[in-house]
Amino acid sequence: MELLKKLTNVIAPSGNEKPVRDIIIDEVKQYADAITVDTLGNLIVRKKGNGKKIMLSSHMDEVGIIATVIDDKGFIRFSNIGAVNKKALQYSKVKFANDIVGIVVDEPIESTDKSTNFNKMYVDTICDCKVNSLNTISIGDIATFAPNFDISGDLISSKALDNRAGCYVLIETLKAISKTENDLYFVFTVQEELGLRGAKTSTFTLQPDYAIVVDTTPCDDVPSGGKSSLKLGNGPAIKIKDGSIMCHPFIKNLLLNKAESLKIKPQYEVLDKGNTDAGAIHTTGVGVITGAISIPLRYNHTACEMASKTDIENSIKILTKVCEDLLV
Amino acid sequence: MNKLFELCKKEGISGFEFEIGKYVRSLFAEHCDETEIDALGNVIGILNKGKNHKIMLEAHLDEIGLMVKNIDDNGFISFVEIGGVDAAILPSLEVYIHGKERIFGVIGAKPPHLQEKDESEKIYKIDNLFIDTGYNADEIKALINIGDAITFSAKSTQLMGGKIATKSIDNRMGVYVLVECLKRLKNQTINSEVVALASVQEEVGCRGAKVGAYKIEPDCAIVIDVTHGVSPYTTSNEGFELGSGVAIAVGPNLHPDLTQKMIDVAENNNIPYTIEVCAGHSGTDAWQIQISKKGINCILVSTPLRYMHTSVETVQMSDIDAVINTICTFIEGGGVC
Amino acid sequence: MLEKLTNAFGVSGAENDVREIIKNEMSKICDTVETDSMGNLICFKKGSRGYHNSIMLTSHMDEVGFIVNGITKEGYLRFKTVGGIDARVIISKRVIVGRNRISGVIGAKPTHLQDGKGGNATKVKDLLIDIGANDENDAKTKVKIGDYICFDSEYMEFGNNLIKAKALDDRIGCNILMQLAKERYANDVYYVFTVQEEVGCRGATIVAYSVKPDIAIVVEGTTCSDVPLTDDHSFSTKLRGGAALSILDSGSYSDKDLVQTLYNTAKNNNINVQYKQTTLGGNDASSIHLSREGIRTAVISVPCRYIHSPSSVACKDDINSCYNILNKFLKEAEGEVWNS
Repeated sequence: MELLKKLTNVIAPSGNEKPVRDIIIDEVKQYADAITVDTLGNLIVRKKGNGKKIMLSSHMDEVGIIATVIDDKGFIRFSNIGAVNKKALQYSKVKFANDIVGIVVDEPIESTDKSTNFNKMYVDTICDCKVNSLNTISIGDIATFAPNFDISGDLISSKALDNRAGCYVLIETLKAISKTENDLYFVFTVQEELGLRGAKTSTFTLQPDYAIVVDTTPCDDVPSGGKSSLKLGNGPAIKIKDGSIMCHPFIKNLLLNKAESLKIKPQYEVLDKGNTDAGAIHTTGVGVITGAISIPLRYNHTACEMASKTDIENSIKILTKVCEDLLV
Repeated sequence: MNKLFELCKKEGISGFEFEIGKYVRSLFAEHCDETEIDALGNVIGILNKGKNHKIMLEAHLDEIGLMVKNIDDNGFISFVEIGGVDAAILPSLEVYIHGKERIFGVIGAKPPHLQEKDESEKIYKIDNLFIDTGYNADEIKALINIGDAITFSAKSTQLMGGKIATKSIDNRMGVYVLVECLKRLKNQTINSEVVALASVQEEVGCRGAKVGAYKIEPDCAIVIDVTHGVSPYTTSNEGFELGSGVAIAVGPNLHPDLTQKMIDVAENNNIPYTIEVCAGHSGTDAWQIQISKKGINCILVSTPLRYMHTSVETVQMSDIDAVINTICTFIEGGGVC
Repeated sequence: MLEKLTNAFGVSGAENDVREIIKNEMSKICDTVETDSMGNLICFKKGSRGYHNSIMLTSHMDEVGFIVNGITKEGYLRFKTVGGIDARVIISKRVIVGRNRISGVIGAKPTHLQDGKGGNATKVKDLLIDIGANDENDAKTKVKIGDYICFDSEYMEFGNNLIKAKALDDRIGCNILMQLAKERYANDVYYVFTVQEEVGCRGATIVAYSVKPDIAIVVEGTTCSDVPLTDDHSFSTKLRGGAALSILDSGSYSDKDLVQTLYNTAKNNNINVQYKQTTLGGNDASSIHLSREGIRTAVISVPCRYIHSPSSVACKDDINSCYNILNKFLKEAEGEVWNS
């Protein structure tokens, strides 16, 4: 899981994915036949084959914040990048791309404001040179929750498991594939958290026959949780639907068959609201037969998301088998 | 009327249109030169292929419904909505769950005797409702699974004055119109290629129409859907009278000149019609179709429908005939884009 | 020209008058001028140096307004909003209705007859336009259901170099494009005037697909809230602060290199410039940057107070700043390689 730790430790919210992209290129270059980066920054890694065109996709970006106004005392006002959990920001440490660390505070301190307006919040940076400085923070600088990867037994906790865990699955799958006749495209997309943006343009370029997205999905198996059937550690979830896609039965059945042949018992994901790249992919161009494997995740978009190591490893096994077996 | 009932009876919620897709394809095949089903399940029928002008007639195939979310230890089933389902219609509704077998169920609710004083005045939330199939957990888990589709059970009822009530008139009525138009146009000499598109997944975001229009690339499109009908709960400011004919839409989503031509056709042929104002999103597949590739000019025609998105949707047959008549007369008269 | 443009009738879906004004001028100075199926106006000037990279500048022609939804027995007009309008700014205002350009007013209950002050604002569905008709049939001789309705507000200069007009968003942008088009630059340039931005950036979607430029710059009017009772950090932009460059808004994350280039161009030429401070608001860039395989896009805006109202306000200096930055940018662009 060292690679996963490395992936989660960089500061790369939507629109600023380069640090993740650089790590991935470094990891995969010896396994790839072709590597391209497109206009918006999507990373497309191809493993050539004569068979069907299959797109495997995970988004590189995470949620975060962007500095908007820095006052004359050095306190920083900000706006959100993606749907970062406002409650989770209160008193959290955040880290800027230039390594400066700060604490997010809601004014007034006892605020019970449930709105998603970040207008009343600010960052107090731990930096000697706050005032009259040239080298600290300016408008447009980005930050995320401060890196905090922990692993114990089967449980992993870190910021940005959504969706570095998915990227990790794709990378390890690419490494694990022995041989295949399928034409495989591992696509690491940008700006999913801003509205599935990278997925739209990368799919337009590829127009694949099939697509499988690997992303995280919320599971509620906690005291404050809802009625979702997903449990951490109970296996990767075959996505049936989310707010942006009704998954194609061909992919649902494909994933189930591969899981069964590997003696892995999958869960099933029925998500009422919440969108993923799969939504953008399947309606691009003339349409793509699309589905997804979801990694169950607790506490999405907070400083400490939690996933199961086995769920991630089993996702890799299923995806590897999908890639290796000839798709007709 | 029976053909319409037959279509409404078919079970196919958004994302699960494959069975009804095959049926509709067979209906198209009776009149079309070619038919096909695309990656997402859209059904396409082509008449007069090869003419240098292409008109697309479009209606969505899917209906709203529910989906199995979880099965509790006592066999009761919790669910999510597929498309815009008003929770108010659900208590005591009869449904079918499509798992390994088609299982009958009832949506249950707390008996009035056991409710708190204020509770009985609030609409149920979907989270507080469940389906009772009469099986225990082990029995039901052998028959159905998380993610299975759930459809509403509905009889087709004839009311007075040529009105009918059943589920899914939104938008099986539109599919019926497609078939009837193909039937009539087949026997005419027309100078356009006519492509019928029965789209999937409109109720969850106009998804099928987006890819269908992209593939077909027509010169213009006539979209057929339903609009609100005046009822005790819908005033004449919000809807149209049943029997008032075809509702022709105007607004930024629709092409002004083509729409005027359509209005002229109704006017000149004594077809009853009204004007529907859509100030932005028309709430139909026309929203996606209009901005496909280099742009497709759209016309939107609708029938007034009472109680939309319930299992007792009510429509007047003469309004549906008005839609068919207007579209066919427009195309036969050489409606050019 | 700005006066002519802002006074013209051009609600989303009915931009004809505005398009005619622009088309008349642009036909004289551009190589080709075309109108597409939705009404977007696409004007092209070939570059003087034969580089194959193209730049697309866009502004939208449409403004927010209303559409007639019904006529009451008494001859008043019921209406819906086209685009985003706060119902509270339209009380006691004048409008113009339909192709016959009939005058109307949105009235209000006199205060003398109201029960106390304050209370909830009246919703649009409960408001009516009075065109002075005797009854329904009388009204129908002049207007019909589906007629578009525009604010009636005249262009005026006032204060210290300020302008008041309707539709500064985005006739300001259109005017800037028309001024820029008077020159021929080294690169191919498309001057694109889009339709229906206010109802969802609709025109821009199909025009980006057709034109396929290498880079795109959207020229807009944007929120400026440097007024009392607003926190400093919520101003968004400041009047007289120069043209505003967007970093991130609700529709797109601007291309970083393009934004930096525009900023540097301003600084190097001593032109007043600011960054937009809030991340709210969307514009045509949202459709354009996701077209096909993706297009590198940036947004530059002129600050407008009271946007989406009949009396929006902008400063001439900010308009000039925007024109100057783009003019210098186009001159200095000189066949850069845009694609990585």
